[in-house]
Amino acid sequence: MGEVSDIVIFLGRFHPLIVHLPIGFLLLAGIMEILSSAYKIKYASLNTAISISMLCGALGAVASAIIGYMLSKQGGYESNTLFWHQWLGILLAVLSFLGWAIKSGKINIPFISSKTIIILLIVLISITGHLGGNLTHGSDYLTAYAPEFLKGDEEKSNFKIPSNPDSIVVFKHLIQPILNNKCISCHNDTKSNGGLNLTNTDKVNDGGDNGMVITPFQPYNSELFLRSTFPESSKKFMPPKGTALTFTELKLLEWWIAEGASFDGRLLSYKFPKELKNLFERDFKLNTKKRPYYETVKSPKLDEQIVLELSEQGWLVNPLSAEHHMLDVKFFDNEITLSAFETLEKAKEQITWLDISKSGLTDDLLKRLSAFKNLTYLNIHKSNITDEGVKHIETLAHLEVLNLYNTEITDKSIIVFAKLPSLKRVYLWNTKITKKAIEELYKENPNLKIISN
Amino acid sequence: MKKNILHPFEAHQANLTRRAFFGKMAKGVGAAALASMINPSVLFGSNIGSINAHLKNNLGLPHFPPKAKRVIYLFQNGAPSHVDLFDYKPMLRKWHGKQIPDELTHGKRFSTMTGGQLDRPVIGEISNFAQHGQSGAWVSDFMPETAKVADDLCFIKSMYTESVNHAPAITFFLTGNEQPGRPSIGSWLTYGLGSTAKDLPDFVAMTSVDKQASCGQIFYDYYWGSGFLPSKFQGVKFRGGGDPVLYLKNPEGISRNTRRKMLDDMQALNEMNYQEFGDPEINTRISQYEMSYKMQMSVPELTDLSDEPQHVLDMYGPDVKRKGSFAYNCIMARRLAERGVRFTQCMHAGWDQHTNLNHQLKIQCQDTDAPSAALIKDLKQRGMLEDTLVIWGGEFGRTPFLQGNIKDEKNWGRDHHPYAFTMWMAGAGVKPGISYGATDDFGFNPIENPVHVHDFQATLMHLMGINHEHFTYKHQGRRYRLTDVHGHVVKDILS
Repeated sequence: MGEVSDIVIFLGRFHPLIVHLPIGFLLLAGIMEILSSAYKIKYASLNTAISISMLCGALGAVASAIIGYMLSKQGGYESNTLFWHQWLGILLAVLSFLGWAIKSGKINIPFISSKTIIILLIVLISITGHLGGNLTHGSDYLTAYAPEFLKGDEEKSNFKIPSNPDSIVVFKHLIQPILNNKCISCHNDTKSNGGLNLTNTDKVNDGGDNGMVITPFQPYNSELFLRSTFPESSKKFMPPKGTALTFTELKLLEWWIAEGASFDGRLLSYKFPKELKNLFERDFKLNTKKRPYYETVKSPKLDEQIVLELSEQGWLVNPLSAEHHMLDVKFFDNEITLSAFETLEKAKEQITWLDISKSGLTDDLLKRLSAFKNLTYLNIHKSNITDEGVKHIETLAHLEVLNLYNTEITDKSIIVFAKLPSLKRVYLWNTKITKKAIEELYKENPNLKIISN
Repeated sequence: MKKNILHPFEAHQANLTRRAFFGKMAKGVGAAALASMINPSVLFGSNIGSINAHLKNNLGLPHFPPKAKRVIYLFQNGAPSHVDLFDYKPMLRKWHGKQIPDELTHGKRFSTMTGGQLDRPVIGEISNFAQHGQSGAWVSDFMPETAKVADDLCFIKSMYTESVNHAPAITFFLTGNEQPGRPSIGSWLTYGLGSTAKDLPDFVAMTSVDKQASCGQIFYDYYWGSGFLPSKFQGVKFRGGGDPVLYLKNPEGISRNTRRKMLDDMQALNEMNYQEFGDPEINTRISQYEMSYKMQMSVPELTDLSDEPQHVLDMYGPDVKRKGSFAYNCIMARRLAERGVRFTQCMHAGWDQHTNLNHQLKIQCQDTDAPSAALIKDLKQRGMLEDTLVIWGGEFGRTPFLQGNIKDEKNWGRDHHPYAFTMWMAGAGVKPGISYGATDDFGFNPIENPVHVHDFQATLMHLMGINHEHFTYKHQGRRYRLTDVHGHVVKDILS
């Protein structure tokens, strides 16, 4: 493509302004046509106005088409859409002349009335206008903020980042969308400005006419990043039209290249700076913190009747919050009974925090606690339990905090703590567990916090 | 607030049948007139008229799962000197005796004691600092025990507040407003979250003063008041000597059973009264009688320290058994927390070193350092730091410059300094072993991550599972919240 003179582009940029004139005139013609058909006598005089309006529309359409063509010389538009927009626009101009000619009686074509032409014109205006909008704003502009049900499935899968941070692949979910939004309208299979194509990983790697655009680990030697950060007035600034990359997008790009520009790296396999973490949270509603277990588990809500029963049996029952129906349960009475415990078992799916301390819990009951699979916090300090009971809770796969202080447990229980896969903290103050056993436990699980004498 | 709670006054009106209404009218317009005078905006947690109402609430709280279930607030009245205790500034000694730069003090308010003082020489810290623990936290040698638990603490070094005098500043910290009249934090929490204590109040306040009573601060009752919340949510103040709660013992010849029967009858009478007038204060009365009855049993057990092993008592220091000491209040706070008390407010006065910095500050530290640290250790070994939040801090800091005459070393002091100070938090949901925020070289202004009092309050609420912006109470036609229209949760200190 040869250099286009500035004046052409200057005029061309009036296209979005001028284009609204024919739209207005032709729509007005349509409205008047409806009125004059509905109230033939009252609005008979409109007929002359319709043909004037159509003539103006036709002239406007020609003007728009011409400066539209000038604008297209600026380049950078998606070629397929541009093709249709251009030819439908030209067709529109021709048709409106035809409509005017018929309406004013200059020519007469059998079976085709000016009304037919007007209907056709309005349909054409809608389609051409929409394509024009897509050209300037991008094809997702209109629907980006549409309610979910209005979006097609395809669109959803394209633009939704997985809500679970575990499944996010940095390039696929975070970087490629930036390229799609901001770059590929000029760097695609059909139109690859500067010989660069950014539509898929292989092509990104191929680089452009001047070589690679990405130097892994060196964002400041990577054209892809660098040129997006130039001042907008610079000729080398990317993208030359449309919206520049946002702060978040720049930061993401910079970080991704600095981390080696891998195409298959998963988000959580990287360490990222706090700034980025905040941006993830703000712009993608992405909490990169590991979700607490109670948010991942799906248990049915406990029947109100059972909650009442529990309260009567001495249990203080609270949902974790107004939004969660997993339960925080504490024994409120002095001595636990078998029937109180049996009532508790009705809620074993829902209980995630449980405190049965200082209430004479026995090994037998502790054994039955092993069926409370969703426990994350268990406080049974000062109970009548021994190693015999503790060994049964090794099945509690999600248990994170275990409080056993002031019990008679010994070194034998250490093996259980080593087996609990989610255990983070265990409280062993005032037990018979020796220093040596604790050191061994540290060796087994260096991340476990053991709080003891 | 959920719609399904019937407004108490509407509930009351719904109980009035037409016939009863005319019956009453015949007796006089008194009832109707009185009823209309009662503030109609008071909204109850739930179960109007039920003494067990405090066990449940329908406010839609907590908004999200809490990290902290209870709070122990070690409030240091009088404002501990941050530059002598936690905020180490080597520049102070370099500038010792030189006038503090005008750029810092220009246009700032100080108390009337130094407001007019033209000489404002910087004085170096009177203590010696060292780094402690794996976290390398700077703590002065006045606080040797606190230094040992530094890895469990989160120091916020960039606190700042609005008020330059004690009472307004304390009121601001505890109620979110400088003027009295708003509910204190503990009242908000017990009102919003309901009860977890079986036979003790949910909100307990205890006070202590330094042995020399060097500091003239008064503990106003509204520091633990309920403001416009129903008065049953106000803190119960335990006395600092003798019985913590008066009249725990039944008089001679009155058995517990007799007492129970009397209370039952009185409750029936009160209920009748409530049915008639719908005054929420009657409810408060009913629940307070009931609480007193429970406390006749629970408080003697609570205050009996004979079940504490000696090594635990020793941690809290020599004053642990002296009622009304900070140490006694600290161990009591742990015992209250164990029994499910939601909010324990231990206030200690004695930090106001205007003219006696050189001898009084160290004494203050000796009185409070070991108990505060012991509380942390004790809660930790019991696993209670999991869900108990401990807060240590005053209402503001103290000036890096001198109050008084630099030649008169005996009477050196530091004035009130609201622009920067340090406090620490520990336990539930707070990152241990970090120092957050920073002040300039003089400890004068925060220069990194400033934390306003409302931010602190918002963070406290957040830890309790409450979105401070959504927890409101309508009073006099306006919805109030603890943080007024301010406050940002300090997310960086959340674990």
